[in-house]
Amino acid sequence: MLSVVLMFAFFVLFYFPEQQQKVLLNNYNTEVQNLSNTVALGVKIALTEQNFEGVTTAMDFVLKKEELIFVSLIQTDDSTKEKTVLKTVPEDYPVTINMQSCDTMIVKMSPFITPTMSGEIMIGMGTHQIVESKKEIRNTSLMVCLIVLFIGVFIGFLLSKNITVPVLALRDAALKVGEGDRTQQVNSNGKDEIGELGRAFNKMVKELSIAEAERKAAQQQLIHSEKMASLGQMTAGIAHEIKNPLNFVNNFSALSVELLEELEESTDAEDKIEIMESLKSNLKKITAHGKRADSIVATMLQHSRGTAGSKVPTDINQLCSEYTDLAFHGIRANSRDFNCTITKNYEDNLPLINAIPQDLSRVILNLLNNGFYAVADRMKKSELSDYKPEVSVTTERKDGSIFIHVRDNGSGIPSAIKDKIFEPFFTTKPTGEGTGLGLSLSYDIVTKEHQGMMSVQSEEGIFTQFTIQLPI
Amino acid sequence: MKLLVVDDELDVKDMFLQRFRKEIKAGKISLVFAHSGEEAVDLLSQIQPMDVVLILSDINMPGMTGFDLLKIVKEKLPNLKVFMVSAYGDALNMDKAKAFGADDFIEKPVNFQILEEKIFSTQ
Repeated sequence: MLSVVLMFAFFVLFYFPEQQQKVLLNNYNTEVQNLSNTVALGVKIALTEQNFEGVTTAMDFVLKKEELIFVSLIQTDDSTKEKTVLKTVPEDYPVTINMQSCDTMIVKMSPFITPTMSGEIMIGMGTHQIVESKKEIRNTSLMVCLIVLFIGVFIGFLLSKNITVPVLALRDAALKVGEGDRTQQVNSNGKDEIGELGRAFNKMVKELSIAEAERKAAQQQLIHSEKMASLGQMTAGIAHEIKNPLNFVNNFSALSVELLEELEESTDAEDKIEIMESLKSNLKKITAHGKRADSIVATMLQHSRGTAGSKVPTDINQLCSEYTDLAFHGIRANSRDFNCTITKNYEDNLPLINAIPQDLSRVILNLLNNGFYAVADRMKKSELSDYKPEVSVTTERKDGSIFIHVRDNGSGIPSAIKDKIFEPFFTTKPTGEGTGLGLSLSYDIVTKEHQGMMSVQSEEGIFTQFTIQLPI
Repeated sequence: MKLLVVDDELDVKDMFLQRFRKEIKAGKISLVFAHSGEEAVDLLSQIQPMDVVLILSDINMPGMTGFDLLKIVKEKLPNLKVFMVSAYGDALNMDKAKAFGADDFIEKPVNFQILEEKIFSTQ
């Protein structure tokens, strides 16, 4: 901006006046030459007519010019070509034969030839007016420049007030909205386009706020659906799980009743002892299987309850074992054709870690469900008759952490989408078969709730392995 | 008659031995047990002479499932009857069992009275 102003000042105060002066000087030069030619012509005519008064008249003609400094009549000797000043007006002006123009004077010469004499008229005209003109131009330009500057400042002030300030306010508000502040509003009273822009911005922010609230509500609903879907699958697995202990509770109870009747009837002491031993064993089994059924129900309740928030010392091997079975039965309940070899490699004597078991169990369930889905999907598509679906769950202690690896020999994850699989709502399953929230929720449970890490390794066509790392 | 009972739950053995104690004492039934499909296949190849007449097999077992065992038995020992015993008592499961050649399907919790009737009806 400063350089523009300086350039403008240079142009107005120096360049423009200089250029004007040059033009004026050129014109002046021409004028003086014309004048000189006119006098030379007058003198020529006078000399031709031998009218010597006419010579004086011709020279007097130019005396009227205000800028005239001198006019000289110069004779040229025809044979020697030597020049002599015959007359100069004013007489005392020091004229030389080859006078040149200078800053203060323009000197022009015009030759003439008559039968009686050859010579030149030499005129010297002052440039005072030109210099004065230059000064006037400079002063005028300066004044114009100042007026323009003043108008510019005034316009700038108006622009700033009506455009720049509101636009900057809009920019600041937009930046804050971008940072998440959905309460920003700008002044939108103006009747011009800036006012319209402000009103449009305010409307946009309000609608953005509403849309965000709706999005959050929809997300919560989907998260709830994901949990319900997971619970539904669990329920199927749990129903099967409960039938097994119930089988023992019912039958050992019935058998115990029979044994009691036998005990009542028996007279043989040895027989009675044997019966009582059997009864004792049966009652223990009834108790054990009753507790087993109870813990299965408790597990289901824990899963449906959501995040309890408090961490408790947790046996990771037990959690993995329990939920591996549940996940398998859950899948089987929905898909009778499903079969899979499950390999469990649990490192012995893993320390208990502080964890929220109902949330971690959700993670294990999710990873196993994904693994089972992957192998089942590959089975459907596979042309190999000898494809054997396998899922393994491994736990190990290493570097101050407990690692849980869930691995399947499904089709693997294409490298193009591997970075997206933990993103909320990202799914490769057909519509209706998944909310795309399982891995995202699992990731949050591991990293945010348990300060752990979750990662995936995969090779297309070979395997996928999810690894959870939990600090001890 | 010799029965082979295949179930990964360990208490199944006790349950069957108690339930059929009178029949076992009377020599009407003898029982052998396997805790996996693989163990059942091994046992079937070892028992000489092959006098097992009926297999009672759970479906849901780690490794070789009851259905896998059923297919192998029906292929190699077609005269051997197989009853599937399972907590999955829905029609789909039962249809699948039939399709693979199961001779009957018993839903858990097992009603031993019905089971006994079915066992002896195979003679």
